[in-house]
Amino acid sequence: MSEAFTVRIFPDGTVQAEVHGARGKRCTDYIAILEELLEAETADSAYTAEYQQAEHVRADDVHADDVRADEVRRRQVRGG
Amino acid sequence: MGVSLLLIPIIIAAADAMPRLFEDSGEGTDRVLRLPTRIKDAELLRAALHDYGCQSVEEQGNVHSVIEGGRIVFQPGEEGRHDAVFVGTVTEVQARAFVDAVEHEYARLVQARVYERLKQKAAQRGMKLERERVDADGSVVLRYAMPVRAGR
Repeated sequence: MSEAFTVRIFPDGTVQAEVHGARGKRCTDYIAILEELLEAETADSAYTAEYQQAEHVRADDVHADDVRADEVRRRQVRGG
Repeated sequence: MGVSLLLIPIIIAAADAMPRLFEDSGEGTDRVLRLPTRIKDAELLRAALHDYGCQSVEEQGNVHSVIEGGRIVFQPGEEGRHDAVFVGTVTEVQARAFVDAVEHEYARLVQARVYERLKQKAAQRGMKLERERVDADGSVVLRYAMPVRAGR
């Protein structure tokens, strides 16, 4: 997925930004990039639902890997 | 994956629900009202005052103007904010209304400045503007694609 960001500049001068498609540390790298682009300071930050979903998928992948490793070990014990 | 941010441009302070007003007695019947503002940039303040229909002069970092019922001085205060100091017979309601109006003009100029800076800096970094629109509430929304990095 390509990386992108959306910026909303409100009439009261504040700015809301959302980063899409960035992973891990790259995601937080955007905080400094956006602060420089906008000459602004971050007042609040949160991971988006998109990020949370991706983290769930990663956690599920890790769990699946653990299950596969256990199965391999069990087979090795039975076979050995 | 993504992250959501709320950013405050360095030339404006975060909004207070009801900034505290300080009062002191001046000469004769005059009184002095001091009200903190969100304003941090003197040059943009003068432009906001001009747009609101007020003449102003800058002297030693202070911005002076005249309004009905007295004069006003914007002085650099805490955290880079300017305090609006009213001298004369201006009431608290009038002072708050004046500051609200000038802050409104100022914020509009901040929005324009942030927009111009973003367009300029993003273009310098090779970011591609994919979408741009103005919403009904006056917000400007821009979506940029990042340039593809080598080795990806």
